Amino acid sequence: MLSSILKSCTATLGQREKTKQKDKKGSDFEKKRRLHVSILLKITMNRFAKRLPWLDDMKIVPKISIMFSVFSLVISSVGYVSLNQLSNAAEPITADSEKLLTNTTHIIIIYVLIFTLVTICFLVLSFKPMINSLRKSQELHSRSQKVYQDLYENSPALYRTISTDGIIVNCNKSYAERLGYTKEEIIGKSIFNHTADNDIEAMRDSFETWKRTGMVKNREIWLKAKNGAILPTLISASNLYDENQRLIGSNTIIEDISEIYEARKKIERQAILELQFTELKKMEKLKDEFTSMITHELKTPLFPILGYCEMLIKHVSSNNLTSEQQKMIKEIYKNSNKMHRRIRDLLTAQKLEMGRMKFDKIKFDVTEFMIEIYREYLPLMQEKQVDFVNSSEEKLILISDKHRIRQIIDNLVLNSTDFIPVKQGRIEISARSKDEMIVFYVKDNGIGIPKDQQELLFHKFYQVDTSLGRKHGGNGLGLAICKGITVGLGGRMWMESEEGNGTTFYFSIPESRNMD
Amino acid sequence: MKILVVDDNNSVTELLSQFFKLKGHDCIATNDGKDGLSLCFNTKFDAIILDLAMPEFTGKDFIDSLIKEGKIKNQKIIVLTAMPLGDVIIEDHYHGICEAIQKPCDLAFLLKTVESLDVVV
Repeated sequence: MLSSILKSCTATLGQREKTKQKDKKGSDFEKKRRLHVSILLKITMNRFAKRLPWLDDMKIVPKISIMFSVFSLVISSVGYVSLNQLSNAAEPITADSEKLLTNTTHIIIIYVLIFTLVTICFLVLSFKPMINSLRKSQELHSRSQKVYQDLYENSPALYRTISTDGIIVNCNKSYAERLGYTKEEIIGKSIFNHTADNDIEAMRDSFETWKRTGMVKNREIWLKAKNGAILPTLISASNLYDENQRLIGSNTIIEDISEIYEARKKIERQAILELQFTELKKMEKLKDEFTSMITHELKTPLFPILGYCEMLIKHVSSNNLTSEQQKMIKEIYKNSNKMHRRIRDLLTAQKLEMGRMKFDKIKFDVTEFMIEIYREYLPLMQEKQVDFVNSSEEKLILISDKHRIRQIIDNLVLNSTDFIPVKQGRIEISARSKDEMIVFYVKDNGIGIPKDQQELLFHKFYQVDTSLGRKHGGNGLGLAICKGITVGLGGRMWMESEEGNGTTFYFSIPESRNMD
Repeated sequence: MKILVVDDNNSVTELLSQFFKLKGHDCIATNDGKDGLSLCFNTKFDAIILDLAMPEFTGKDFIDSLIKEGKIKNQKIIVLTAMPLGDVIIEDHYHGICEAIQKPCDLAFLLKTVESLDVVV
């Protein structure tokens, strides 16, 4: 740009020179003047060319240019006036002198013109950085406006702008989306319309605090969405001023803390659970201690009761007692024994539950063991007219806790006697080898157990509803204990039963051949 | 046989002394552990039936005192307790302690056990 201006200046000057050349053709003086002007132009152009790189950014240039042009104008006017006066005064002087004066005047005018042109050039050049800087600040302004707009509009945080009377004048996308409204539905509404009913007071307090102090920071307030759902948020607000620094409202940033709240709730729940767990453990310990204590306390008075009954029945002469009295004593003895068994069951169940049951494993002949059981029960079965059968296999050997297995079989056999028909009852006991296990079973032709109650039967304190059958006493621990012992010995227990067609209880105990 | 019964429960001591006397044995019973211990020091018993859970001076204290006095080996003790036998921890089980029986038990079984001690050298 600078070079083009210079070129046009040169061209203008050249034009003028050509006109003058026509007037003063052939004059030596004219030749010298032209040379002078061209040299001056070249020097000026070179200077500009050298100054070009730093010229654009010089803030001082416009000032210098203005001063320079004013100075040139003053000089040229003064020069012109004095030369006119000089020429008027010199009128009487000779023609040669007049000619010289005219030429000198022309030279001065040309110089002044050149200075003025240079000044204009300086001025023109100084506009460029000004325009650039203006454009830059405009760009910066629009960019920051866009950044602000983006920040407000697209922020994942919830933004809303309110007036001093709590009316929402603007909000961002996140705010609208989270509350389930459109922007149009939001703008113009009061902030209280979006506050959860329980937090209206808290919002009012927060609003008053902002009005009083101009600032609210991280206030936990629950908002209400369009669908009525409520969400926990942290609200922070700061003042918003117009261009005259007049307060017009507040910019509010709302942080949705639903997830944090959920996490906190989860942690709290966890803490409560842990507390409850500790409490439960404490309670269980207390329960265990109580069970131990109560069973101990129950067993102690049982000893004299059972002892005296036994003495009266078995060890002293019964001559002094009537048969009625003897019957009474037998009844006391029988029931005290029953009570003793139940206390023992409670203790056994507790031990199994706590994993404190100790098993005493020995090698024994299962076939012999089953025959022994058969023989012991035979008198009772004959008395009850029960068809009692032992169908165990021959030569079965097992390494396990014989007494506990006996306890299971006793329990199952005695259970069966309670459910078989009064006449034509049948109970079969058996032990057979299968897949490295000895499977024992006790089979009866009793009333059977409904399918939906079969699994529950092994739970502690569970009693099948026997309203249709014969009443069966007990504490509902028998089968739970049997199963616990079986599991403790490495086996499992199951049953097969059909209502009206009898029941078979099975339990398997591993043979543990490697222990031979 | 000369039998000593040590149990804090009066009904138990009463029952056992009646029973053993009925069966022709000489039985002394006490409800206090310390009393039992001094009886033990002064007299030689063929069998001692000892309860464990007694207030103040327990069955364990009784045994410990005998061990301390070096007299445990001379005794034939039957521990009679309402506690589950698995819970009964008696150190030095083989010094003078012959049996551990759970309360309540058959008197006939207890008698059989006591009389069997007579055979033990």
